[in-house]
Amino acid sequence: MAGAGRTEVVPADEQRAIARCQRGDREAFELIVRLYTSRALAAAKAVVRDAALAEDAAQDAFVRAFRAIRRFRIGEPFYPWLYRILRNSCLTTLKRHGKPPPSLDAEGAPPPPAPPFDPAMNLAKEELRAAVRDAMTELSDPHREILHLSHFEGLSYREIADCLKIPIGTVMSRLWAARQALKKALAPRMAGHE
Amino acid sequence: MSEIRILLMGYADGELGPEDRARVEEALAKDPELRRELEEMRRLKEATLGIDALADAEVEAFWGTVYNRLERRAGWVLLLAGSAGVMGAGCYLFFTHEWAHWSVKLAGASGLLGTIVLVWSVWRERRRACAHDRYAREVRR
Repeated sequence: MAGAGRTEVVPADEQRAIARCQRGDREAFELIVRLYTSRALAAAKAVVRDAALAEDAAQDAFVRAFRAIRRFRIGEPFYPWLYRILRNSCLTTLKRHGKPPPSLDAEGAPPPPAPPFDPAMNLAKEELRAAVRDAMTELSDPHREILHLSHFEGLSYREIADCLKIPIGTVMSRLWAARQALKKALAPRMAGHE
Repeated sequence: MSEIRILLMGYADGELGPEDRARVEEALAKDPELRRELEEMRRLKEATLGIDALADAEVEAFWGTVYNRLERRAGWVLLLAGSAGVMGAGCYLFFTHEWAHWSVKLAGASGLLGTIVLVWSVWRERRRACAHDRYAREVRR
């Protein structure tokens, strides 16, 4: 999604910038940071659920990424690689601040089918978006994380599988369970609009 | 969980191959409840898609902090390397020259010992933290 603060870089330019970063060029890294700041901050918030900690974790992730960028294989998608570093930074940031780490890899029991609702009913798009954000705070860590990657970031199943290092089948089943949980959490918020 | 509903989710996300897509379309043609669920999924996805982009000033401030962190590391490395050089030269003089009074040598020895203890302690703490960080390998991939 284009917008303020988001530098538009086509993938070829991105790969060229990464190649320059691998030669230690910090100006090229600035381009990469500017390109991914919004996404990294939003993703970190989805994991740590605290704006200040999320910023700290995202900054730490970029510093780690710059130090490790020589090991990135040119030609591969950059975001899943960055996301794995970011996830790691979120966990270590939480640990450093004495907070319990989220159980991101745990698979819960499949939830019961959620009650049906029509998300369009009496709700404007922005209201629905806000309600979803609010409802997501009630979800388990793995569900919140996968919904963020699928719904807000719009990643494909393949990209989500790369980010989380899980098979595509697991992506589908976890996403389905997460959507059921989201619908359940949204239902009381929708009730007031019926 | 029903298989057709998981496939329906993949259909709404545009992730299915031709065979599964045909299966879902066949089921959709027969079942109005599935059609309603598909519409619901699409509207939910449409409403949530996209990250709220930060303002230019926020991105600028963020990059400033990242840059400072990168610079600070270089500063620390240079400072430690320089200190190690000075310390090494001091040790050499300490053992090879007779000119210093024993009290100066004692002060020098305690300073050196203190530095070794602190460096050892920090190294051990970091090693312990790495051993318990199961995601540490991610940055090495």
